[in-house]
Amino acid sequence: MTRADPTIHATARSGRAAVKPATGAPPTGAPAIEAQPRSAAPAEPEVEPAVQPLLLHSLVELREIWLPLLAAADARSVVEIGSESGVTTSLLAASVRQRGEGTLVVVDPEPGVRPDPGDGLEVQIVAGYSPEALDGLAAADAYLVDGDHNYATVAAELAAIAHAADRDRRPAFPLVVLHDVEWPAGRRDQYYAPERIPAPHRRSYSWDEGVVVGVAGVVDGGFRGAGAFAWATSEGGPRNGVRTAIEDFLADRPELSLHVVPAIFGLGVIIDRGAPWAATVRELVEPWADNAVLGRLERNRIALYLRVLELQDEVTGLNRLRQRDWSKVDAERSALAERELVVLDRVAELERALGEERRTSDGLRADLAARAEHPGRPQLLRRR
Amino acid sequence: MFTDVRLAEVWSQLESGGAEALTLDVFDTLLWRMVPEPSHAFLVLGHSLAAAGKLPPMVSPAQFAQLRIGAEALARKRSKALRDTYEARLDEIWRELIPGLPGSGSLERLMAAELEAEGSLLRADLAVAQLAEMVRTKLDKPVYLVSDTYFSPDQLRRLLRRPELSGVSFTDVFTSSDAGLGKGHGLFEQVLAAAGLPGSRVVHLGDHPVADVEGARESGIVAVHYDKLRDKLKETLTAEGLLGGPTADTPIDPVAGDFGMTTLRARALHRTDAFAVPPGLRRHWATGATVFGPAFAGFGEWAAERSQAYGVDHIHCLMREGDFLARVIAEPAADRGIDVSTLWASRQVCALANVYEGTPDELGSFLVRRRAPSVGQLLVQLGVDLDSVAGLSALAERRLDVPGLVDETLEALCSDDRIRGEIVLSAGRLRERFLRYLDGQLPESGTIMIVDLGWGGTIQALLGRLLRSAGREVEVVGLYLATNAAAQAHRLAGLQLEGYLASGGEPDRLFAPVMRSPEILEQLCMPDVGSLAGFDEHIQPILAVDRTSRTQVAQRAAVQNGVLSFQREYLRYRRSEAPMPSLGQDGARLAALRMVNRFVSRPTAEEAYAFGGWSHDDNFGSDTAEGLLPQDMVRRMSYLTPADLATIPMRDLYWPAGVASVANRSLAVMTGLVIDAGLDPATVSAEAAAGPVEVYVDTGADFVNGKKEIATTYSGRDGLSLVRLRVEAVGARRVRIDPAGRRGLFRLDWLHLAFHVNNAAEPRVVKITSLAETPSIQIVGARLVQSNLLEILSDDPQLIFNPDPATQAWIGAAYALDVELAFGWLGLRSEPLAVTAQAGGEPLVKRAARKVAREMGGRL
Repeated sequence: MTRADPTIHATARSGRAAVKPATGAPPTGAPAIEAQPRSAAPAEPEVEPAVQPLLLHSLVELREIWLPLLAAADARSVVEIGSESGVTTSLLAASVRQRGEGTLVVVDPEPGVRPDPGDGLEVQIVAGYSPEALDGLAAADAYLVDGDHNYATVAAELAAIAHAADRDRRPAFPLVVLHDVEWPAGRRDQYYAPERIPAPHRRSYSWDEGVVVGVAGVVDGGFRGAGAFAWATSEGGPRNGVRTAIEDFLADRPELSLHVVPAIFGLGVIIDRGAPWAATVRELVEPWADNAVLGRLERNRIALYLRVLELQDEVTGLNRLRQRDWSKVDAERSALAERELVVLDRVAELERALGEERRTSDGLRADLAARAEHPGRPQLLRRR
Repeated sequence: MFTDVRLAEVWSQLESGGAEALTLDVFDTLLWRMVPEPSHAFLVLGHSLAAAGKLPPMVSPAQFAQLRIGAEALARKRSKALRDTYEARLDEIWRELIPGLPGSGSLERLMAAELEAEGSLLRADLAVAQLAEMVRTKLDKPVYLVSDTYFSPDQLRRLLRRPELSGVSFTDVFTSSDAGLGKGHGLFEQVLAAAGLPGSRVVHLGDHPVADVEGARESGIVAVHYDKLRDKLKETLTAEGLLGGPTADTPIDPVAGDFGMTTLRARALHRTDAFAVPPGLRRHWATGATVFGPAFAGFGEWAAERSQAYGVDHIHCLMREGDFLARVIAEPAADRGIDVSTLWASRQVCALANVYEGTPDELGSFLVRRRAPSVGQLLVQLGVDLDSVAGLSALAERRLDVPGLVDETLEALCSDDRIRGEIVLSAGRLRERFLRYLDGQLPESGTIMIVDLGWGGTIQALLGRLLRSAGREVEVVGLYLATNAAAQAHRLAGLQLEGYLASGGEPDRLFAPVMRSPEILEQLCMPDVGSLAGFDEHIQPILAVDRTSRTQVAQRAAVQNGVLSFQREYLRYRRSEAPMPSLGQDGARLAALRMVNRFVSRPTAEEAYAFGGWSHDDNFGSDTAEGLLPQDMVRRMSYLTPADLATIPMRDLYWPAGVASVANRSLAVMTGLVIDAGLDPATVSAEAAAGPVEVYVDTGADFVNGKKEIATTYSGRDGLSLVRLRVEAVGARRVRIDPAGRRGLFRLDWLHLAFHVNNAAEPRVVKITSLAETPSIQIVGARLVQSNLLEILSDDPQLIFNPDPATQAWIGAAYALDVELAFGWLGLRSEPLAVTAQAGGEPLVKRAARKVAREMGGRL
């Protein structure tokens, strides 16, 4: 017998949905893709499993890049917008604690974890949707932005950050780290809750169709949300995508620079050239930023993943065809079974009739014998 | 094209041009939930919230389900007051619910959780989806969804965003929650306005008799009722405890609900093949589809899964049942790249092939069966020609069911060189042929996976022993529909065997009643051939003559076709883009066992009648075959209590619950429930006021020194009692029965004395129904009032049976006696009964005269 390729096997188990789990919005049934090891043999403990999840998608996976930046900027107050599963929250809490004392603000309608305050850490949970939930928050040293990945949301978030910095008379623009600044959400809006985006700022979108590299529209199949999120139906153009929102924000702010790490959907870092930590942070991020090897690996990773989705869709399509075939087989077998029962029923009926006839003839024979023995007696009734 | 008759009707309306648009109800039509009742989905949601730590402490999943129902009722009431409609939205319901669930999370998160739970329980009806797709693509006509629901169109769209429906584009969605009015109050008009069609040009398919059928018809729409549960299935589901509000006792899986079984059982009854079944076979087909279908479909799935886990690529299904089992397993096995074939083997052949020396131990394995064979039957099985061994015919009739006698007889047979030689010779010949047959069928080494209906696993053990002792390096693994407690001994001996419905007899409470009456399961799997007796010189199986009546053959085929039809329906979903959960899971196995248990232990009268005519293996070939509902047992039912019914031995009655269901339904139900609850049936059986019945056997030293047995008497319907007991009777001369222990009126309905006599296959039965002019019965301590009515005068009444030496001399050869006494009892105060000589004569005449006068209308 043939066995499925483990990769396909792993994805097929989770059904069609091959999506990034929701961040900053309620997860609506989008299963994370998890590879199932084929054997029960335990993995080497010191080696981090490389295919779990199959599609690396989280800001957590980029932690070795952005955590040192917070330390370099000596960020004592950090705002996290979109807490995902809460792993980033815990990392941030530990990072702030390392500074000795500080504040962590978590903005998320349903925060993944609520870190315990203490040991110099103050925690503020704002259970609401960004950007509205940012209103009234004090300006912070650093921001980790991983909420809803669309132009309107990110633009408003950056504006709110700038507004708070101005209002609180911050000497420099805070360190801002943003996720999803490259394909697919860099130049195309993604909506977890499109109804929350005011209609004039919302692009036409599709829940069902997906996106692939090199196609500006949407396609049947591709990378899609399966109910968890929707895509804008076109890529590129003004006011579309996370990266565009950042660039528009930076356009009239020459003191700010954007550094993009081209890995795991893209990490963006905004640095205020005038900030005391600017040089240190830039030095840390530069080896990663616009790194050609990373960019190549990311493009390859995405191409491979899209291929996995394609194969998965092929399996689904084959299943559908097979299912249609099965309903034909079902109809044929049902028709055969119908005929079989009619014939068997008729045979049974004939056997019963034959039994009846035998009993009748036995009775008659007995009557005849009795009459032969006692000619004078009246004929006996037929016994049944 | 459509296997559901109702969909075929809708399609023909649209295809013929009679209708220009299709409207579909959503829930229980286009989408259905894997729970018996819609509200059970809240139980599953409750479990998932509890698992996520989202329920407050002390709120159980079942309590949550009730709160959710209560909140919906409140929301609807509020909506009525505010908007004059009972239609409420999901957020309104959750606003009512949240105060009852402090700390559970935000409204949005909880609503999302409900949508997620719904989404995981929902399945698209694949046939309806196919219909919608074809209407859109082949006929190019619009398909609208119309739903009375608390979900908003967006929420509904989210639920509809399913892989099974990805090929269908619906024209539009109309919901009552959005429109503020339901199907019966104008929602259909909105649809018609959007479609720009008069009602007469639109066909609607929906499950609700009022909203979907009446509501649509009021708008002039042609409505086709896609009803779910027919009355008989409803009765079955109720008996299985599946219907009714969600409670902690609702027997569904916390994650997979009912595994989709309820809907698939219901859908099966609407299939075109169900309607084509000849009327006399419909009950059999329906039972196959709705009772045995889930169990066998699940077994097929499980057997294929387990085989895959064992890493085998071939399954051998043991004949005779294997013929049907192979058909059940073929599809799920093929899905996993596993081949299935049948293999001839039988207990008899395997046992004989394992006889090497003809020792009593080896022969003893032939006696492990429900009804002990006679010496003659045993020797025929062992391949000994009775006529060739002088002196054997005298023993031939001896039945091997008396412990001491068995050992003695086997010892005698084995110590006779001629007999033993014949046995060893015929065993050796069979072994050689059987091994040649097996070598042609089985791999030379490795794991051999066999599948059989089940119970003790003896054939597997014998087969493995034979193959290993013949030097084949194989391990035989067995998968069974169920294995009983006897299989545990094999397991301890290292045999690998597993059961689907029950393994090693567990779960005992649910499985024990099935094991008490396994005949229907056994018979429904049979093909139209007799059992394997051996192999001829061409290594072709030699089969016994199959004497099954053609009526039973047709009924059995109807059951099998019902099972396979259900399985085809199930496989359609199992193989769909959103596969059903596997029926190999523990929750599904338990659910299937409940279905089979309900049928065996609490059948409806209709089911009992339908299957009661079936013969079982033990009475094939016998002219006195009475099937599973013997008439004399039907007559006994009104005398019995649960304690009596539960203790009737298998050799006397194969399907007590079936017989009781026909003759004494309340007895059947009560006994079934008591056993399911793990109670002793005696606790719900009233002891008779007459006191215990005692039987004494006089073996020559008077009754006091002979054997004695006492039976507790229970009082059945109308104070009737039936006592059955066995007493040792070696050297019996007389028998005494003490029918009561106090004064009263005793009506004898019958007294059967069945003497088991040496060297006779059948017992000698003395039947007494009248005490008048019965010289063999002597009455002590009682007075005969009528031919079968005694006034018991003392507390020690006796009926003494003195055999007639001329005609009943065989009593000297008796070794055991079965007594059955059926009677009615009425206690009396101490004064003797005054009975005149004319008792019954004169009054009867007067009564008759009065009756005639009544019938003449008082004209006399």
